[in-house]
Amino acid sequence: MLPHLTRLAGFALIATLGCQGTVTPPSGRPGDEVPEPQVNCAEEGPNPGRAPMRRLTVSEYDLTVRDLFGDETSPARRLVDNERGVESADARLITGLLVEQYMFAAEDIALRLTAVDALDRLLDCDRAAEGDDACADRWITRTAPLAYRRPVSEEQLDGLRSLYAAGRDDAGDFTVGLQLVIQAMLQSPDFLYRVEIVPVGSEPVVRLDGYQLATRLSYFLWGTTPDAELLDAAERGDLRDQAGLETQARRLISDPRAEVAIQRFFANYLDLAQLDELDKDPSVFPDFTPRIAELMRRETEAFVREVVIEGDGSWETLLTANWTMLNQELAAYYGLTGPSGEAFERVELDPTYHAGLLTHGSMMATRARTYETSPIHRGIFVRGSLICGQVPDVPEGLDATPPAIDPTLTTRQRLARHREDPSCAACHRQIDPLGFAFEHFDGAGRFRGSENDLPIDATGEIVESDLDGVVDGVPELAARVVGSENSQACFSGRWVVQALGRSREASDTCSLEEVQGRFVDSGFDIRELVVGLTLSDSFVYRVADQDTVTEVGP
Amino acid sequence: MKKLSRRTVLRGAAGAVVGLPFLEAMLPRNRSVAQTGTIPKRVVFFYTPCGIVPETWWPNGAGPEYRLNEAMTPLEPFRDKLAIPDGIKMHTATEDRVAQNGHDLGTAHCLTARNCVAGPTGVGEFGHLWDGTAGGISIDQHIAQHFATHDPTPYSSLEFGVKAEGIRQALPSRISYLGQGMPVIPMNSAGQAYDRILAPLAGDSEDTVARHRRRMLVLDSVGADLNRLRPRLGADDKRRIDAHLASLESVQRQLNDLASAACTVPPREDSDNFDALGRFQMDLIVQALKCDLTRVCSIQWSTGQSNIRHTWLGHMDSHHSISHKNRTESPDWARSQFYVQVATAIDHWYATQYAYLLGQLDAIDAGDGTSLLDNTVVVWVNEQQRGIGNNHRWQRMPFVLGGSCGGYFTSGSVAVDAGHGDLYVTLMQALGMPDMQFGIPEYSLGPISTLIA
Repeated sequence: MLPHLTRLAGFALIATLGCQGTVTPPSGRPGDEVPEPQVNCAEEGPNPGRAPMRRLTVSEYDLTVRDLFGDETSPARRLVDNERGVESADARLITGLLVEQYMFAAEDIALRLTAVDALDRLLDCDRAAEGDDACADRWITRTAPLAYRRPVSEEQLDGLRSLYAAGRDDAGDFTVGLQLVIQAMLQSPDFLYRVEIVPVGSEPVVRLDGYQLATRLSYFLWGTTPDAELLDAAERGDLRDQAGLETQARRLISDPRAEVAIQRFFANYLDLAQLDELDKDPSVFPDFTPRIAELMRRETEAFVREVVIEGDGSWETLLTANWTMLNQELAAYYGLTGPSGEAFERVELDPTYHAGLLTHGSMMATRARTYETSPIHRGIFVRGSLICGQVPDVPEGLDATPPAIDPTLTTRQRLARHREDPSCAACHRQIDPLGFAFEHFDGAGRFRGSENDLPIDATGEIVESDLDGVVDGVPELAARVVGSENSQACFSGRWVVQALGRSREASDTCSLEEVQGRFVDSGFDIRELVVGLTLSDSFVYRVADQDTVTEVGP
Repeated sequence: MKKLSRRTVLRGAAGAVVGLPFLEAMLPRNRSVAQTGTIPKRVVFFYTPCGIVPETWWPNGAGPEYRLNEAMTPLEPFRDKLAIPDGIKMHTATEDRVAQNGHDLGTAHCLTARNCVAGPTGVGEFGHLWDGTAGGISIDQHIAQHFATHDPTPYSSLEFGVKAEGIRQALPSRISYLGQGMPVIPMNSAGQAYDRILAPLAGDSEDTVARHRRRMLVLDSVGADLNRLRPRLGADDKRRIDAHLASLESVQRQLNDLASAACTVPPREDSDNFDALGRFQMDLIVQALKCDLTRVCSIQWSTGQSNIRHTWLGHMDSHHSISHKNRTESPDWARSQFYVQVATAIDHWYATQYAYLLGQLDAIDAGDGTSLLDNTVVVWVNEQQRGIGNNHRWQRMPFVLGGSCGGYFTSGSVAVDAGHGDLYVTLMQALGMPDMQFGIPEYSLGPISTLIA
């Protein structure tokens, strides 16, 4: 574990910060390095960092009203709140339009729940015997703690009760009273935000209470409100110690409902949304259609499910497997046989060329130009997204127009200037060789044995990273990625935003150190990584006075 | 000096029409020409993506005798009500070193004239700033804030989108910003927009009144929850609650204003079809301006890097793809020439939409013989021109000003040499605002005199 210690603290800084003109020596050159914070995690107390209050995402809102009220209409899909970066609390400011739309959504839901044929199911009460008011009162008392994910004070309950009475009297109809209460609950900050109040007079750093932890766990791993068992565990005090928390974390990650969170992570990590807007030049790739793009997404989702939910859960398998999941239509597109129908089945691939997610059509077709591959974009994907290295900026005034199409050359040959002109090579030597490894996969995600009747050269010398060395093809590159501490740290760090609603910060160093240790020791089991994260200080603790934490972003 | 006297003259002219029937029923009850004394000025921003084909778009000839080019023929009926400034540069986009992707730059800069700001993820694939943001407030919101203080209407601004969604990156998706990191998201559903803006005006029925009364009860309860929570949070989260409270208060105010407004409204319409949806959204803009629900609107057609397939014109590729097709490195030169025609057809289609909006506004009498269009300026703004090799450039931006904003703007094809920030300074002068600068100061030198009548 020890070797990770300082490396992790500074790992975001290792990237080469500029490569204009001169050939840059490997990272670690004197004078250019920002000093790494020296942290001794064994001696430090918990340092949980920022914990911004998170507003429910569109998907979380929908699943929450489904689980609270059985409303399966996905009402939040109509919200104008579908921005990119939904995991980041800072990126999700409320607007007047959204406040209005929450109002409309709540009004619709309230109408549905109190319709004549739905009312008895909602109240679960003998109205004839007990009376409408008593049934409504009991419903409010029972439902508010579920909607707000914590015990609710009598004062706040009284507010809802008087709203009920006001609505009932205004309309002369008790269902209108109920509707107003439902509307108010669904627009309340206690519902829309995951609020974590720290009691007055607390220590500067506090362990979250059981309900707050239950809420963090549930939204992180299931993307929805805590279930009855989790709330019971909170009420019993089971979540006050790590053992009780771990029991619940393991229960949640082993449940089929965890697939929501797993798929959400990989969709963000691999940026599968790019498939929605993918466009290819039909004169070059006549078989590529939006339908194929959609099937490519489903291939990746099916593969993630097969590995993480059904299989060994291993990150190494995800990156190196020599098999994938295909249905008949997509297999035919790739020129493969095996699957006979709509369903996605396991298909063995040639291990000389294929390596897990990295050679999926969803990755290869999106990291490409409309009419050809792009070793640059693929190289940037590896350097930027897989090892969290810094990608050099395009120098000022550079004409970045790609070299002209030439049917007598390969793409790699056309990029020769990147190697021969020193002013290009300074940066491109960090990028292009990573991308050349993928040249057996064309711009629309298909395997190719040659390009323009010329042989493919998939070799490259990787420099200025911890993947350094000569590789030939993606399987060799993938093996280096798996063995790279930067890529391991990058991968575990990417989970932080989903767990905490913010990017990784320096204060997470010790938490991530421990999480990554678990991850490596378990043979890269993603489920262990996730459980480790839920037990880490960054997840379990909170700074009481958020005012003292440096704010980041607008 | 010239423009000052011009405005004074206009005020006088407008003053003379006081008392003429200005379709008073169209205005909110508490506002009318009789009370305000002038015909209000309005502004609409009309955004289209992916640049234009220069050789078929730019007019021939200069001055008022200009001839509209092939892609612009739908604007012939309004040729005397248009000013087409030739020579507006989006310097700020050209010079921005933070963003790299051409569509990030063009879309984020087109209304803000400020440099982009990278988010925690930095620059990613294709040069996109995944979680970046525009650098500050956009001109539409800046104008809206001025009106909100000086001459408020129920909505300080209204933003409409025609499939202005789909691209998930923050920057090429959004034109309008309240500030750094605060995009104003447009309404992409005409039905929802109708429910929001016009439904509360649809008659004084008991239902409408009761619905309003009950909504206020619920919103008061939400406000109480926010205020109960606020003191128990740290500064960072207090800011979120404050933003929520401010939004809630603006909604309460809007609902109250709408409840006291009176205006005849058309039936509700909606569509998922790009063409039809665009019409309905433009109809809503016309209604909102006619009923004086707002003075500032924007309509955003698709997003930067538009992935709309204009199949009804007979073309299967996306607009973005077509716009890059006639590049020197394209494998088939004859094919790329064909794409010039295809791209021109799309430009022509957008000109048809713009002409429709102008026509609808021109059909409404402002009360003194001039039309609503004459008292409005509809600013057609693109994210970029299309430069050499059909790559993103911002040296000759295809802006159009439709409607003279009460006679302030000249008409015809006008040679200019200025940054787009100064086009907005001129616009603010036209609207009676004092600002002499917009966006990055070094590119903002003052109003563009050749555009002023």
